[in-house]
Amino acid sequence: MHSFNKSLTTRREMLTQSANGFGMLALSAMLAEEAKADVKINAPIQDPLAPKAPQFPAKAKRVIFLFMHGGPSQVDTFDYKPLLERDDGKPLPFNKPRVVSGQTGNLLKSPWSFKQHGQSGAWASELFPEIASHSDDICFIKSMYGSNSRHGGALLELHTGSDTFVRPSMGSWVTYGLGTENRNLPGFITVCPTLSHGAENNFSSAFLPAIYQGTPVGNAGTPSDKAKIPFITGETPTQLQRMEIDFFNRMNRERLQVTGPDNALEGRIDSFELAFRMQAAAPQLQDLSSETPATQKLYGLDDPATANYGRQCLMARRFAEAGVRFIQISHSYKWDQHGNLRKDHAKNAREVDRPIAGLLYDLKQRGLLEDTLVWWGGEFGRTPTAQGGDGRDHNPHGFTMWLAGGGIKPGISYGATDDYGYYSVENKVHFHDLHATILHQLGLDHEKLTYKHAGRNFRLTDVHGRVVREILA
Amino acid sequence: MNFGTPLLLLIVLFLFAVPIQAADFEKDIAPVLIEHCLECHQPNKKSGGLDLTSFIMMKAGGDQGAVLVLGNPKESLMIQRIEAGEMPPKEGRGLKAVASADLLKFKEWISEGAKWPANRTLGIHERKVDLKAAREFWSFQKVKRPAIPKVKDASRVSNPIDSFIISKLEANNLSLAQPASKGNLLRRASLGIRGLPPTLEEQDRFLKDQRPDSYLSLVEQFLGDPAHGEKWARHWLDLVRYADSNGYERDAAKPSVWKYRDYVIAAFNNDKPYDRFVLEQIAGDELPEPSFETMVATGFHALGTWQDEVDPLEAAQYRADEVDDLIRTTTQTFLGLTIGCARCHNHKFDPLTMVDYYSLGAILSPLKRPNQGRTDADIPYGNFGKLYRLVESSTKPNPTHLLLSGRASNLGPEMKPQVPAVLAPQQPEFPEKGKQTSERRLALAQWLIQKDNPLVSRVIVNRVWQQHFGVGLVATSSDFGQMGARPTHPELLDWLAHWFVHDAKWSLKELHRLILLSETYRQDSFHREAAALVDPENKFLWRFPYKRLDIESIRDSMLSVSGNLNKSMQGPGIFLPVPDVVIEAHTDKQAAWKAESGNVINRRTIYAFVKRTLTLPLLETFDFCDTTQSSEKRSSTNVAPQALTLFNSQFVNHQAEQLAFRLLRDFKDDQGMQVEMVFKLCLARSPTESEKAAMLSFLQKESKAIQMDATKAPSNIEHRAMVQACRVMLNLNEFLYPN
Repeated sequence: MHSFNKSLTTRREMLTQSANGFGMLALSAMLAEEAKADVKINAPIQDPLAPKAPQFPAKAKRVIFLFMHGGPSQVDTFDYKPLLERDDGKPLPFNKPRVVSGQTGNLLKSPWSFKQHGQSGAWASELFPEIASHSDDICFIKSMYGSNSRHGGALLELHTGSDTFVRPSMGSWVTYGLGTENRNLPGFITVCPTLSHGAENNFSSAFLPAIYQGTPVGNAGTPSDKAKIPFITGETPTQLQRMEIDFFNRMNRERLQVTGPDNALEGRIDSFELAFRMQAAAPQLQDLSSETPATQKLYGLDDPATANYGRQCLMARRFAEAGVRFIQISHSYKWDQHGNLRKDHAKNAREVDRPIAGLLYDLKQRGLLEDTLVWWGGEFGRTPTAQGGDGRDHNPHGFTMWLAGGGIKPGISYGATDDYGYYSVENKVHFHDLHATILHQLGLDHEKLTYKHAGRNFRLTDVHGRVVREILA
Repeated sequence: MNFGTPLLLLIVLFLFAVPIQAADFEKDIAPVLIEHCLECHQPNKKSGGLDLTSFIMMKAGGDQGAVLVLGNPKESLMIQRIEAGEMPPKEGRGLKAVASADLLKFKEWISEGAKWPANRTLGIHERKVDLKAAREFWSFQKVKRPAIPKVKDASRVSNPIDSFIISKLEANNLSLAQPASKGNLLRRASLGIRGLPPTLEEQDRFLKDQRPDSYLSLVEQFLGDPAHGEKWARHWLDLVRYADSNGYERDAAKPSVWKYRDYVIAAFNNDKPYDRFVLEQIAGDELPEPSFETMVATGFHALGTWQDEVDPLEAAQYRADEVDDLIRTTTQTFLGLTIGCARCHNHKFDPLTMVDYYSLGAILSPLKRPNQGRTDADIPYGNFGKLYRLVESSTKPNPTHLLLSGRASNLGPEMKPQVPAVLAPQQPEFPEKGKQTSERRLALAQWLIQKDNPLVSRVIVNRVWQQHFGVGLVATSSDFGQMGARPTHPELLDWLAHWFVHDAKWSLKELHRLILLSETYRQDSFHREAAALVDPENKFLWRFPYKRLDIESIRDSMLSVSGNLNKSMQGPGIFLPVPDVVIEAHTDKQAAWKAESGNVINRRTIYAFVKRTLTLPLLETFDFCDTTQSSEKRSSTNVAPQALTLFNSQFVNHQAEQLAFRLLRDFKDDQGMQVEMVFKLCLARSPTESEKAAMLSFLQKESKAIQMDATKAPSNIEHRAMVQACRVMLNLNEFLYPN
């Protein structure tokens, strides 16, 4: 370390000069550790992001959530319904739900043809030829249901378990429960998150310590190649900045002893520590140019239609590899086809199909799929009945999500909707159940992952949730 | 009409001939259909293929065939289903069973041949709300001034606010905290009223001032500072979705829109009574004596996003969206109601109907944008210059229709101008005698500012409270409806609202004064374990809450302590410098942003140009509001990117450099004094011994490290070390979260 002291360079210079990126990471971590030893403050600095052992042996170490914002249609993607095809144009032979987001007419068959794929014989429409080719790695849950038919409420329910209160996001709970494996990065990263429908409440830590809040990289309005964390690099040499942060810590902690504990104030101290470490780690991880042309092609970076989501998928793999605990990549508010179903669902599917298939393939070949739980889906599905001639309404009563890797049984379909794909009827899985199941795979008991706030213990699943053991490998 | 058989026709004719027995369609039949059946059996939904909105459709029946046999209720399927208890369905929707008296009338009506007035179509919008019951809801009731409660410990009561707060605290075995130190109070009040920290001179004066009314004169001084309007106008701009550009693809600038921003600043500085402020914004052009100022105020309606290129097929729907923006913004801002929810169906939770919504539409939709093609336009006003607003160009506006299901293509009945029925046992008069315009907005505004409007005063005092204490007495400050929060201190809210109108005569400065002089405001913010256990969220205000400064106050404070702040007021928005990467990411790189330079970029943040598609990263990272709709509250996050912004952004670095320069210049060769002063400038207090020692040792170590940095010439070491220290000061928790 001594020699390093003698030639302080800026972080930017160090990074460009460094041949081996991860060596640099190690170096900056070491620097950080050493600098910490220098701090003369009574309270030891406890890193709230330090990795913690799961409550029981885990199958998955991390989650990648591929969020299809808007609500993709189950009956046009993975939930094949021959009767819907047969009865096209006829009325739904049973009652529609009492509460709907809008009015719909008669049944509308899928404009896309379905066929079976792989050894498992999973049904998929022609919208997702590439993902379908990975069917044998996927567990389709066809009996999902939620409780809210509006985007805002449904997004909050999907992300936090509650559609009415501001509650910690699932990624925050997971990071709170397990910490992060890479202390130079946030435990919970959300790439291009939506600015609407609850916006930051979907990745907020609510009453959990603020350090568990999701770190946004860009937002829904940013093309993914521009989705950077602002001001990730600065002009101050690292070592000097380390001293600054130590001084900053000391002053803040001393003040806390006067003012008393405070969640927001302590969270701010943690956020500076994390920011310091992120400066070295994040830009490198977001720089996709080091990936081989073959890999870039695998994710569809060579095609303008797929490049945007492809970059997000590739970024997700790199974050996963680097040990980020919960990674969400959003295909922003696109899937809401009240009209223009034929054109827009096809366009949306085209944008994500190859990138997602590339991600599955890449994770598998790197041995990462084993302990990475990949999760695909939207905030709800859509009605099998028509809105106008070419659209479908929101449908939280029955829709499909899928999981792959992370100790989930591959090549199966679980649960079912009715003959027309409207209601979840068999082996129903609520968001709470899915949350419980994902936590379980991470080695966390959803009933025991609690946080005391306002005089009582809170959990992600509130008083609900059942681990869907039938889909565990 | 074809009734099937001649026999039936005869019966019908016979029955028609005996009018005394006939059930009255409007009185006995329509309400039953509307209340019990139309939710599902209407053209947009047609459950079971059945539509009961017109005689032809009722006669046509549904999937199960005919539902009506004229003259024979027993054979009529609809009667059978109702009598079997199958209709309306029991669960969900909250549809009540048809009362037996109503059913009797209905059967009678069928027996009599089901006489349905010609051309009468029923609609779901005719569903009635039980207004009498709805008016029982707390926020729809008249504001009455409650008695000021007695408290056990009266020593801390300096005005009625304290009585209400302390009595609730006492009921929960809690008490106010100790009074805050003079320095902390000074900084809090300065930031709270002006959004700027106290200067060294102000600190000196106040800390030395031993007069009993020293704090009162401090508050007066702050309220008289033009900086007050600049701080509080920004809160208003959030509510009225202010931006300097139109949004959407081209996102062109709104010409002269900044005059509205300056109007708001001046209104707050001149303490324009709130009722007048409301009146001018809603109907400044319709006043008996309009002026340039009131015309600019009317720019309120024009602030929303505007799509300059609309597909002609979508034009009608887009127009409906524009009117929707006007209705939502007006009702949320002034009434704290989410009446926008009643666009496609009656409000699901509040007693607000589609008729209420579209009646407001009849008031606001005569307003049109004076654009020329795709170019947004400002319009001249005499010799006073141009101003930006929507215009109403006729005394007899085109009719406004209710839009069934909210669709522009689906015209319902014509709507008269009316205010939401639940709020008006008696509708105000819309005289339609305007000289240039319909003067409907004038009538709306006058109704809003009547003394007995239950919402307007409650909503505004709550907004002011929210800015001072972080959370309103009603936490959902733009939703005073069923789904909104209930007040934590209902009596205090009503007392304030009543006092504000009757005693303070709508003066916002009086309201600030009352709040700032309360002991509740003047208590300290430190944690107390015992109190935190009882009330962890500090709902009862057992301490002054910590809250992060909004980004405007953060940036302006930094400029102020560095000595860079340019205090010039008014004028067009300033294009602040942005990092290249932000411009890069924008679709329109060339025209997107032409950053300015020089001293003009050191003006207060409220003067920064707000471009809807390009938010400054500094603002965006620190939770700037959504500029596309009325925002009642900023969120307050604490993410690592904020730390990066504070440590690495050019802006912060520059202020740190300037602050260091200032210290080294003014307190040359006296490091002890430099440390003392940087604390006073940034935190309005002296450092503790330990803090002072820590900073001195930091400066020493830092200087050493800089000396050893082989990459740079070891010049200016003192300044560079001080810059580092200053950057830390500008980043401290205490800087962003004042005590």
